[in-house]
Amino acid sequence: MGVRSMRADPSKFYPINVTDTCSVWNVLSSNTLYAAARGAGCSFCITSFVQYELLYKPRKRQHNADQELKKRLKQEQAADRFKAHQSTIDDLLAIGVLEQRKRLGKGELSSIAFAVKINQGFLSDDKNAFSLAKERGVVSTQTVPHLLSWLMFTGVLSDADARNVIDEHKALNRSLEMQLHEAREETLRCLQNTP
Amino acid sequence: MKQDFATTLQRDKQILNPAIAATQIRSALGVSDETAIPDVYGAFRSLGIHVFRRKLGNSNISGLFVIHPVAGKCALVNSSEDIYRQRFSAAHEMAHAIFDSDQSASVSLFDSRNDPRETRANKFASNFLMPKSFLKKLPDPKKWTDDDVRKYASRFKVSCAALGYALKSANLIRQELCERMVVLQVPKETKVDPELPSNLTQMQRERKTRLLDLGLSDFYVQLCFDAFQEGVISLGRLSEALLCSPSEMMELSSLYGRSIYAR
Repeated sequence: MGVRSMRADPSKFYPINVTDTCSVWNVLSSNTLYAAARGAGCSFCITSFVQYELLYKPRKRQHNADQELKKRLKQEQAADRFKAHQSTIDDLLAIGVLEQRKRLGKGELSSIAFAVKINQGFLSDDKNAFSLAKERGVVSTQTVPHLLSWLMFTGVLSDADARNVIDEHKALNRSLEMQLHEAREETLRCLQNTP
Repeated sequence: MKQDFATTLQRDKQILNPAIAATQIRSALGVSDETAIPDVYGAFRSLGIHVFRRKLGNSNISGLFVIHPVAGKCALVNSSEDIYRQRFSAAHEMAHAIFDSDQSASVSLFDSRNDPRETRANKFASNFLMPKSFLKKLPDPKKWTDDDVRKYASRFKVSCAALGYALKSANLIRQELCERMVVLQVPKETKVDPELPSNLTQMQRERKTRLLDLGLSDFYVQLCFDAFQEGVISLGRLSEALLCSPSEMMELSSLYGRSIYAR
């Protein structure tokens, strides 16, 4: 299930994140969001398995949206961002996530294990992966809608920018439209209540 | 009703007789002897057996049956074959699930008449799809025209060859007539795959056919979405189970009218 109901504090966001498969595409789906996040000091990395799933795993069909997202990821990696790191079986064993292999994808499991190993945040838009990361003591478990909230709350993005983020996200067939709208509205409400 | 009827039957001595087993299973499924089994795969699943279909590179293999250490009894039907032939193969694999679960795996080749287990499975499949009691109630098959053969084959949703052999086995026709029937064909356009019903749009049909070719039946896809919806599996796991990329997942959820982010 998605992360719709996962409320987060818009005033805080852990800037360094191991990013799981779906969330890489969610972050990169909006140039506005990604540029703002980078400008605000965020950095993202992935595991080699996530890189394989996103860039190299053979697919029957290539969607235009996938082509574009792959292009963006390759560009970022060429600039030494979204670096891929090896996550080993020992990393998985160390935090006992292997027993979850029937419930979670390999990309999610390797990302959680690596986030624990390097003691950095974990970015995921899946409720199960999110919950497991929290259980396993990842320093900070966050979502892409939370990232949007934080960027709005801290004044990096305006409401108009946020709407643009959602439009860009939709244009690449991503699925967080509703969650991003909710995050946007919630942040506007928080901003109104802020002295 | 979900039931492991196959296991119940195994405890029963009558299981030695494939025709009786077929009758009992039809009865347990609530299908009268005079009705064709509408969805043999659904029937299979309701007996607690996992059934998958996918195109197999080796066209000599009709199907296979394995006992998976976790999933239990699983059958795979070669979906490269004709729709009616696949029904027979599925019923044949059902027989292996009932009779041969002492074997951890069996592969059914297109022609394996010399193996007694395969012969028994074929007898079961024939009786399951075309109960002998009903064959005997049909007008005298010795007087059938070729069109009659096709008509009755369509009624049972079996190939003319399967019908010919069943009639011969029931001593209702002789070898020569059986041979005449065996070469007849039911027109392809009249055959409906229960997993690709006629109410699908052209685009839906093409997409679902592609999925079936990969081994992703309607039942399996819905089951995966249910598991995701219930929070049993994550989005990443769902994507792996459905053999698709995140973008393909969006397309698939839309095809099945399922939300990836349910309330």
